[in-house]
Amino acid sequence: MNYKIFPVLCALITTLLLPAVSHGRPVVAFGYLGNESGQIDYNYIETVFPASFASSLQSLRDIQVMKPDQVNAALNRYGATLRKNYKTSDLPDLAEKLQSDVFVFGKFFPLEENRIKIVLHLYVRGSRELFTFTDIGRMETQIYRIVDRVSVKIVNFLGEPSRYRAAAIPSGSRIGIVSNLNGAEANRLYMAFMKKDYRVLSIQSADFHSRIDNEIINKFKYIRTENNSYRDIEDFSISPLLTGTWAGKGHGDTLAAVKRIYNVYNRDYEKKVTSSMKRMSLAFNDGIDYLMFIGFSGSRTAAWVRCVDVRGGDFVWMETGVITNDVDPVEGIVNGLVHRMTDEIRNPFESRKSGLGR
Amino acid sequence: MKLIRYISVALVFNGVFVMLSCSSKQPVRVLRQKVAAGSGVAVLVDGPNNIKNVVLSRFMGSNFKVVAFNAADLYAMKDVFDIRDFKKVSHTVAREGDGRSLASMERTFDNVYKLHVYNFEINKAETLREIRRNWNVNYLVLLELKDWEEVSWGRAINLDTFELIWVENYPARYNDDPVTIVDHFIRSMTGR
Repeated sequence: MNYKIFPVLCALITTLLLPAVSHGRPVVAFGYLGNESGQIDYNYIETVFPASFASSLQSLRDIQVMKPDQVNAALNRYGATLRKNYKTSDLPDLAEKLQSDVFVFGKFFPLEENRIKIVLHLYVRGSRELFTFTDIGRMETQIYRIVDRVSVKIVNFLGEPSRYRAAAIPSGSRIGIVSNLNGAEANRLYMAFMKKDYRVLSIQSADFHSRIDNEIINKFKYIRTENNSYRDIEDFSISPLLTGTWAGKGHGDTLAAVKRIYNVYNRDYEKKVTSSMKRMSLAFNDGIDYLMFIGFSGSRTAAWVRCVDVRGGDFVWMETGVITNDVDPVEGIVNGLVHRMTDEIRNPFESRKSGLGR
Repeated sequence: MKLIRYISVALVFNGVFVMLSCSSKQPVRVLRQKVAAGSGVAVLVDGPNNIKNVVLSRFMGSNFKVVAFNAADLYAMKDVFDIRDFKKVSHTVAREGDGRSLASMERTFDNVYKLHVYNFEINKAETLREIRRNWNVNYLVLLELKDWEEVSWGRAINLDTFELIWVENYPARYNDDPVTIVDHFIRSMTGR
């Protein structure tokens, strides 16, 4: 071995490792939970809930949290204040100012029968991704349950692999699967679900060859439905669609068409998805429960999954960074997924509460 | 010494390769519900034309009511959609060096693509329902025998429920030919 290159190698390795080491504990900043009821009696919830989520989260994971008052103080240094609402395009700059890895904010709506609907947004600075989920619970008797449930969802989303699941997907459910597997390989995927008593429908399985390959499946990685979504940040307003006296009619028509396409298929996309799910339910004689998207890596040893409840119209389950060492990676991945999708959602606070006699 | 090291590395790589290729050629079979004898079946075959005739004759010989059906009757996704069209529009509206505006339009067209996939599957389900109703077909059977000397595969779908009821990957054995493979598939899906 040439020992002269040893110090160079050491320096290189140290440089490569530096970002991971210097990163330290992740910082999660909490904004307000905006009161959408119009009743000032509920204003206290705007800060009480985020502060409770922050404390719960800190008790579950080794993270650094910033509560709304601390976030506000940090923003004051830039001559800004914490707002109740943010446009998605505001988030990258905000998280940058706060130097937080994740910024959490949202809104709530009191519902009938003393229930509350909470919509929470989690913006991840590193990936510029925004995850939104909705939770409904009872106000008086179950406030701590709401806090626990929401905190667990935040922790799972921030975990490795990243996970979110609204409810168990029981065996016997009728599922349609869209994946980047074809032919005999797709049969291995179907077999793994069928062996666990899921009913696999003719979606994609009635095709000899699917058009969805390793690249196209990634379009389904981001998913938007009425109440829950996982997306990356985009802002069409930054696109310079220039016009002026120099522009002819053709140019104006093109711009108008582009704006129309954007409004229908991006701004109001969730409505289109809801309508598609209703039509899908009708087409399958109301016999489809879930539509699943599973993207496998080229080697098939890693995968992600997204799942939409077709009747409810909402996305209910996702996992990213699922890996396996199984000899048959497709079956190994599906077995892991099936185990977790049928599993009841555990409440890590439960043991602590029973210990406290709560 | 070096040679031994190279050989051991090669053996490890070979082992991993063999493991992966073996998993794709291993037999797979699940039968949730038997394909009833004497029922109406539409059989789609991917393979040479002479093999297609073999398949249909073996199904007819097993007393199935075989309905004339062509895979082209179900339109294919690639016939009606080409993602490159979307890329072109994305680049039209994007300004030079402005990656973010390009990303924004690409997301819009990704959404169009996803809706297209939903519509494709909805239309296919409606077509399958029409086939069931108008031609009295109970099951759709797909058989791929293109590489029958290596691995053939099949699936059966119950058109009353749209449910996949049988899947099989069948690696060819020493004495197999297309006739024995199709006979095996028929036995396998009927549970005989």
